[in-house]
Amino acid sequence: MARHGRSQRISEIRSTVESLEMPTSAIEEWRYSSIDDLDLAKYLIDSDQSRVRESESVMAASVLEANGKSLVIKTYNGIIDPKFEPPAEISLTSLDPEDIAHDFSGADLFSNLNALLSHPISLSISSTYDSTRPVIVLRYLDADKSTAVFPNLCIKLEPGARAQVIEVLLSPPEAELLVVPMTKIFQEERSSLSYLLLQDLGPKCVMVGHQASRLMANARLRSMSIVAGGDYARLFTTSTIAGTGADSSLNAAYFGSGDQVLDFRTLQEHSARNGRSELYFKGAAANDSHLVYSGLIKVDKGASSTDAFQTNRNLVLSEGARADSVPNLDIQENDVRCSHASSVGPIDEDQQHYLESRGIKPDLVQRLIVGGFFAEMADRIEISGVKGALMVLAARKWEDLRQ
Amino acid sequence: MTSQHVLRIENLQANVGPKEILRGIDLEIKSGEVHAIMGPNGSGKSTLSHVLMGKPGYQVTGGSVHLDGEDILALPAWKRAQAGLFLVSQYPIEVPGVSLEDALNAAFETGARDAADLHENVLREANELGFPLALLGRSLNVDFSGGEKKRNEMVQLAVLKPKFAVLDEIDSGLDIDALRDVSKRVERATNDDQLGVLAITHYSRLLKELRPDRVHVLVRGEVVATGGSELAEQLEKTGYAEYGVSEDLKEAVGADVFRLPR
Repeated sequence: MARHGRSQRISEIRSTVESLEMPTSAIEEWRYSSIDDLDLAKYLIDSDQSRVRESESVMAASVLEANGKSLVIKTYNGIIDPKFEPPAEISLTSLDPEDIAHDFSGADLFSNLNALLSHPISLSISSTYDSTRPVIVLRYLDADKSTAVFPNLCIKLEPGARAQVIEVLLSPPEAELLVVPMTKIFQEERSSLSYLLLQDLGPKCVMVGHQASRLMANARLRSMSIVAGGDYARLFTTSTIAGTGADSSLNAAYFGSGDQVLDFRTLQEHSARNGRSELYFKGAAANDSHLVYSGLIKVDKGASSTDAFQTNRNLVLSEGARADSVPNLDIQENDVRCSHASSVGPIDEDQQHYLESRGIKPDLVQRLIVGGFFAEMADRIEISGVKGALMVLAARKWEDLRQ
Repeated sequence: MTSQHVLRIENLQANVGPKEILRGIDLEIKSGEVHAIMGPNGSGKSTLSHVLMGKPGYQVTGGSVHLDGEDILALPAWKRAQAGLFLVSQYPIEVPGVSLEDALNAAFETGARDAADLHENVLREANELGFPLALLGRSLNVDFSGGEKKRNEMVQLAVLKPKFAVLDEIDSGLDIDALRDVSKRVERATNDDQLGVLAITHYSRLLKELRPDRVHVLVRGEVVATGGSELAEQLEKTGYAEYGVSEDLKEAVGADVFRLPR
């Protein structure tokens, strides 16, 4: 039955892909992006996963070390290590596609290519799983020639299940990859998930990623995305409050340097009553980098007693850097508490003077403030090692800024 | 014993934008002395503290400030602090993600000072000053109450051990018990470390706790009178009227300014 469902779906996707055109920056959802520079034709689809190298990442190491007793699943160009044996409380079998078939309002060429070409890893986590033992999906991506890779992870939490899942995307510095990751999270009622994405791709990569979550009644999600690498890296995040009382917290921390373009699009959708979603995305831009944030809170008719908040903060650290921030609300219900806030600017002059007046030299003050800007994020997710990873990110990009 | 230091302010004039605020101030503070500056709202008290610490937006138009002969107005704020000047801010700034110890460590690093006992010193001072230990690892001043902010400033002062401290309305936001704790710590610093103090205040209740050696009355950007603690008592009775400040202004400032606590 499930197999039939999947093959039927693939034929649908195939016809969808054929009908979709390559997006351009003239489309609102791709405004400010680097999509016009992307030449899809130069990327191969096929690659030899046996030659994928396991790249080092200090940032990832700080999270891996802090989570010693984790369950590590290694994948090579999106394909799971065939030797991997899951524990009894985790099922790796393919999920019923209907379970995780989210409505992507942002469904685009890339998410459809992923659906067609990926080898999905489906984690179904039961309520008996030891929630103190994080599941780490360590994705090594690599190829000699320009190659497109399609990591796909589906996480399903059964009713009442609790889990921590960490997904890490790594590639060697010289690899030229188009990375199109897709992560779908489906949480049954009363389940609780902490999810961390750590993206430390090489500088020649382009990433066009999607992450989507769907929360049933009283489910709770704490999500954090830390984005460091890529020449152009885009992440489209959607979270749907599909059951009464569900609670979603979406966070991201990113730091651009060189001429990176880091591009974030978000959708918080409330289709059930009494839900809560809180989004907090923070970025810093050094050198000639460019940050983009565009987010929408959508509250459907009937989703009463909704709390939905959206905050985007951007720290612009050099003359050549810039950030665009576009928050939006679409509210179809009266009984809601919604807010959005965004800021773009340099280091706060009062903070700078206050710390200097304690006798701290100016460059050290700036490093403290930028470090603090990210360190503050660590408290927003209950996964060990996040603060360490954020500090590694800040220190590394600080070096880029000083060069 | 610590050696004798001198903070000398001569004919200091300063503007905020086009407006002249300080019109020639002369003060000399030596190690271990406590000087108080009193004055009605708008007299330039806070401007003086900001000018001393080099806050952006304040232009010095004349005069000089020397710390042990060094022209500190020529220095950026961080070098003034390293030279031994500390400002207890009236409105301490929130710095997300940066803890008290992060900041103190960075100040010690800048001054190439030995930070081996820093953590221990912070704990001791926080205990003595009644600053909640749970706040030590938290972001500076973020979600601190008014009293916690002032105690936090005092922990910094006590650990950094400057030569001179400007206390800018340290009494605002403090209840009488907190005011006593803070004043005791300042007094001990003046005795043990020979800290020189310039206490700027609205309220004479601070001066009852701090017991200044000298009281200066600042009106319209000028020191119009200098005396001992009897001057504060006299101000309590007469207000600023004899310095040309109208009773209306006294009303606007609030009667509390002119009254010592019983």
